[in-house]
Amino acid sequence: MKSILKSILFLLFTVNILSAQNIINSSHFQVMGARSLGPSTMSGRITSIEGILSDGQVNLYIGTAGGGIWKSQNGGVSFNPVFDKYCQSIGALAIEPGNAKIVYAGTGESNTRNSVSIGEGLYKTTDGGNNWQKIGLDSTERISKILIDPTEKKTVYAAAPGPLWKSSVHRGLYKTTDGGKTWNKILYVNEETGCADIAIHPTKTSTLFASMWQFQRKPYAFNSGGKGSGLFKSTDGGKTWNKITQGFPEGDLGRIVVTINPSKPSEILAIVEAKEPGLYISTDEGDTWKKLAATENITARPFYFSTLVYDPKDAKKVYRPAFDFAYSSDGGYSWSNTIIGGVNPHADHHALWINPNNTDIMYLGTDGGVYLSMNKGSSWQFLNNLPVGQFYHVSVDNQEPYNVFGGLQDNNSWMAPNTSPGGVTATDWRAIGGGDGFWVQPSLINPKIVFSESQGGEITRVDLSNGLSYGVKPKKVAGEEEHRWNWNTPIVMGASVKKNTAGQLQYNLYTAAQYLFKSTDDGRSWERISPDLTTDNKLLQKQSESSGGITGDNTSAENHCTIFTITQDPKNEQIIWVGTDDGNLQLTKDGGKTWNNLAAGIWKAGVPENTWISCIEVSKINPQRIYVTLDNHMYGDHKTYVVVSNDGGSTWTKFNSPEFTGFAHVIREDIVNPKLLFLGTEMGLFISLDGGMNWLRSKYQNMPWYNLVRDLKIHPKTHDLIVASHGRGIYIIDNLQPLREMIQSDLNKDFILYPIQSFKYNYGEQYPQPAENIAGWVGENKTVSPTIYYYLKQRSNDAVKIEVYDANNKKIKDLNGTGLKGLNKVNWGLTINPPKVAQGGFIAGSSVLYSGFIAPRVPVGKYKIVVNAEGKKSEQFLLIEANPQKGLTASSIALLYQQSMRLYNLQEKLFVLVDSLDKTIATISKSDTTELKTKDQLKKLDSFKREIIELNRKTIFFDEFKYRRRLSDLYLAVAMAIEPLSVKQEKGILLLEEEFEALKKQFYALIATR
Amino acid sequence: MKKFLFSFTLIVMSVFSASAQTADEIISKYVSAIGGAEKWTKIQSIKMEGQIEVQGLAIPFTMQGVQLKGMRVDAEFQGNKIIDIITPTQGWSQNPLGGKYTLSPLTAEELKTKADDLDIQDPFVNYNEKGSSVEYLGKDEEDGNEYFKVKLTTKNKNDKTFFFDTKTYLIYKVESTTTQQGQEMKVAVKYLDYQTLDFGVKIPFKQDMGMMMMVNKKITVNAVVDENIFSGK
Repeated sequence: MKSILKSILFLLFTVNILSAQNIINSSHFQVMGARSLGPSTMSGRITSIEGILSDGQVNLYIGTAGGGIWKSQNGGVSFNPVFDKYCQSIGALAIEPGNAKIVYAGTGESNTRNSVSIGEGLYKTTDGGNNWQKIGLDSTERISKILIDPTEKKTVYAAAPGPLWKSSVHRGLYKTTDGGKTWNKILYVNEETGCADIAIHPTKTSTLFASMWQFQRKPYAFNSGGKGSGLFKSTDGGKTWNKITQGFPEGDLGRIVVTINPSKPSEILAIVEAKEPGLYISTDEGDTWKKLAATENITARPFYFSTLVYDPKDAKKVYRPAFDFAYSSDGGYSWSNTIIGGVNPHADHHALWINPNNTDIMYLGTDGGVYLSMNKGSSWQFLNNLPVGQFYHVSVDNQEPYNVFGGLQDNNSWMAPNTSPGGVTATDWRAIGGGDGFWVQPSLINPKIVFSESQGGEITRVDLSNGLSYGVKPKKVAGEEEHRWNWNTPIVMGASVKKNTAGQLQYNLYTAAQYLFKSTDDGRSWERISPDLTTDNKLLQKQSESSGGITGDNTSAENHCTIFTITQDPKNEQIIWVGTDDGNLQLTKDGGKTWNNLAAGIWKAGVPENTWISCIEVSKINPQRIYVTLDNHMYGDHKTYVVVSNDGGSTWTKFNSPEFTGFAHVIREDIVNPKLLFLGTEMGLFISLDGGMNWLRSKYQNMPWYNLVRDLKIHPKTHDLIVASHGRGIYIIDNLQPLREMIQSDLNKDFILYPIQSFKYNYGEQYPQPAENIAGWVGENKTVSPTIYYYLKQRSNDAVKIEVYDANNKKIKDLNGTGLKGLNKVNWGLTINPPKVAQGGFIAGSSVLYSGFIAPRVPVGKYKIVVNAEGKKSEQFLLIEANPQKGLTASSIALLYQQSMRLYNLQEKLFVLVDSLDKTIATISKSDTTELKTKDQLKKLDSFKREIIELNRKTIFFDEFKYRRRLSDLYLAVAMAIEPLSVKQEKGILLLEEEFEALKKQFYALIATR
Repeated sequence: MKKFLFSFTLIVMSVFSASAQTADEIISKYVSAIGGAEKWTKIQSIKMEGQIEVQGLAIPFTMQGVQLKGMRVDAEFQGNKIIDIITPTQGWSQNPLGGKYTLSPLTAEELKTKADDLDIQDPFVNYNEKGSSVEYLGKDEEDGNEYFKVKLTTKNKNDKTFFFDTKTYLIYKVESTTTQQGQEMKVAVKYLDYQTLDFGVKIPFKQDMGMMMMVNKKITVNAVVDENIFSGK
């Protein structure tokens, strides 16, 4: 009987959670918005820049590799993101000529490096980016260029290189003649060849050039070029095409860049990837071609550098943004790349927009943000306002405030405090390593020691106490094969600190090639604690011979059969999990002596064999529960693979959700409530409130809906969720506790006021701050105040009111609440309602004005919070505590409160006095003012009023110190103070009190004579 | 069988209504939800009294308007008189706290942005005759709910995006973009607390602008409004 009851209860409970999950989406906790920390000082890869003049302003649209689209209406002085509801990887943009509001955006970048993301079609806005609609090409995965026919604006061409990791028919050149409603593929070669570039004749717009490009990547190599590649010309708007051969190199070709001279359209330049790559020119509209001399910067790395731009007005000026910025003043015959003054633009360029009204001014998009030149590219300045950095991982320390650490794609390794006086600015970020950055780990013992790396496992120990960086990459020793280091080599800390035999603190530091290495001395020495843990499949290790295709391109980016992820059990250092990029999931339970590959169990759960293991998460609550994310996108499979085991890895279950998109990078289980899971994929942050049965996409946490989420951490002390995005820098959602409370409560209720976390008296830090003009992107700080959370089942159709009562049950503060469906959040700044301030005269810019809305802060104690919503009242108590560590003792806070209340009361008394005075004057003025006595009295009252109120003050540049102003000055000083006045200083209050009594007597005397 | 037929009809109906939704349908449902065009066109003047609430402060205001002739707002904070006046050709504002001690003329850009307020009738009532155009922008998710989005472009060339509740057809939110010196600024206002006046029209009594809430206490339709208050003197 008992067991039946139990199972019924269980059923009820489950149903309740399920139904709750069904009614919940991420808008229900939109108040838990993330803080965006940047950085903007190191920005990210820019893929497209388009500009137009509108209302006399340079409007810019910037497409990024993983941070969406940013718009400026002031030539780049400030930007706003305008594409946050959609795929964040942007391949190409185009603005309709003459109309700044109509913009086409092709998703999916075409700078096809190893870490490139994936798009999902073409979008269009007709209102300058406020609203976007998808208009097709959904399966092309990447769009490299969009061109609008300058004479027939409904005709648009879109070049699609197409899927990178597999064969596909969804590639080629597409055309619409109805502004994007319908599309036709007008040039197609085969399933391996897409369209890389297009150029349109500026006046004879039926003349077009299209470069077709055969390209494919594998996890261990890539191949640029083949039979499919070639440059094609059409003279009938794309109906028929001729392949260009006259003067072109023999043999297979690769990526071709083509551009038409707008001032002299018979002249065309093309950079052709071939066995001998070269720059080619045609002077007869592309019929015959001739090879020009070219520097390495013109022809190097053709798969990555595909920009060649003529000056809009000067027929001789050509720009080649590539590894460096090169310019030619003779139509491409000779080139220079000298930069004079300013800063050197970040290497690796992908976009250039030249202001057609003043061609001296140009904007350059690089792997590290946007640069502006005012002199045709001879000197540059950096736009420090685009937080589009691409983090791979994030770590935190236990300092106060804690620091975040991480490495950026092509932009070094960094650290910054999570809060900083005035907000986290660009200058709060400090570089702690060069190259491409990936993992950065602070020592578990010494806050001055940090480990960072550059590509291919070049690990360094950075000693912040002496500013030196020491290379600590494990070296090959006898009996080992050549080390294979992943591009993104793991550096991982064991979770615990222990004492060694000599009694010193130590912890485990891990890194891995195909072998796992462990160090207990900050990387000075390493112990190999595994054999080769990968498949060691020699077929997947041939990158050095074959990678790059025609040109040859062999960096560590394609190193394969390597260890990609390491996780030590948080409580048992003998248990270590290792995941490899070729699909092995290895477990040791004896500190590395023996290893067991458990991958087959995951494949059984429905994950393709040998899928790359991207993350292993061991539950901190139940060590038998292990989560694994897997990433198969390098074999053309973008599905979201996440599995869980509840038996230490013997059996696995796959999580499924219709919400999932994007290959999976990371999963974290909450450190308090194991039902709460966070999953990061290439296309968003997903949250489960029920242990993975159901998932919802994070849309309302102040991050892009399709954020590229590479890493997640939950801070052990603050319980903040830290998000490393690959395109928008670091985000932090502060304190997960309200979300935990919400999911545990009965969400079928109309209105719930949650218990309020007690508050330890504190203030946000004010100084030191950097100069505002170098602050760049400023990340918000944590809110330092008590926070009231309540839940509404439905959006309130009326205002929600909040009242605060003191220990005597006296109402001291009114707050406006919000009426959002789901969780609502209201901060109380600890102040009571402001005083009534005596009226009269001109008060702008004076303490009198501010006295009307600045109020004293309450002393420590218990306060009742009443929330009125949906016609119901609900109350909770809030405990405000002293914070002696910060010098905020209960007695000093109480004294400060008492002092400010004396002045507050004086303000209110003065208000009453002046009000009576005004009324008296008004009454007398109504009587016979010709009478001498009345005249005299009015005069006396007026001069009395002038003793109190500053009636001679007419502008903010005129200070007048009458009683009200003197009172207000002291009132403000005390109400806003952090420390109480000293006994001696406090006498200033007494002085004002006495003076008030005198004024009161004077007033009574004046009206008594009547 | 009956049950089956019923659910079948439901499906057909919902498919039909989803695909046939147009801006005009939404607007017509909205206009009847707020009392109907006939009543609204009878409104020739209006007086609204209330307060602007900002975290414990209440700033009283009065708004008076005569259809397409003038609109004036008077507010007072600590004895400082804040005034805003617009007419079809000119506008003035006064805000001693912001350095405008007396009524000063509005710039052409400011006047253009505010000129829509001269229509004291709802902007969707006979919008065509008023020279406005509309565009249906589809359904969109906002705060986790679905809304019909309709863009209204007035004859003053101001664009506003309205979010209509899919059940009540009342407006939940308005996003407008104002432009100054070529820089766009987005302003969002949420409409709350719809109440039906004795006159028979429905009006939101509260407007939530994020940091502040505009609370109407009393709305008088066809009140006597002296047109001299729009003279700017």
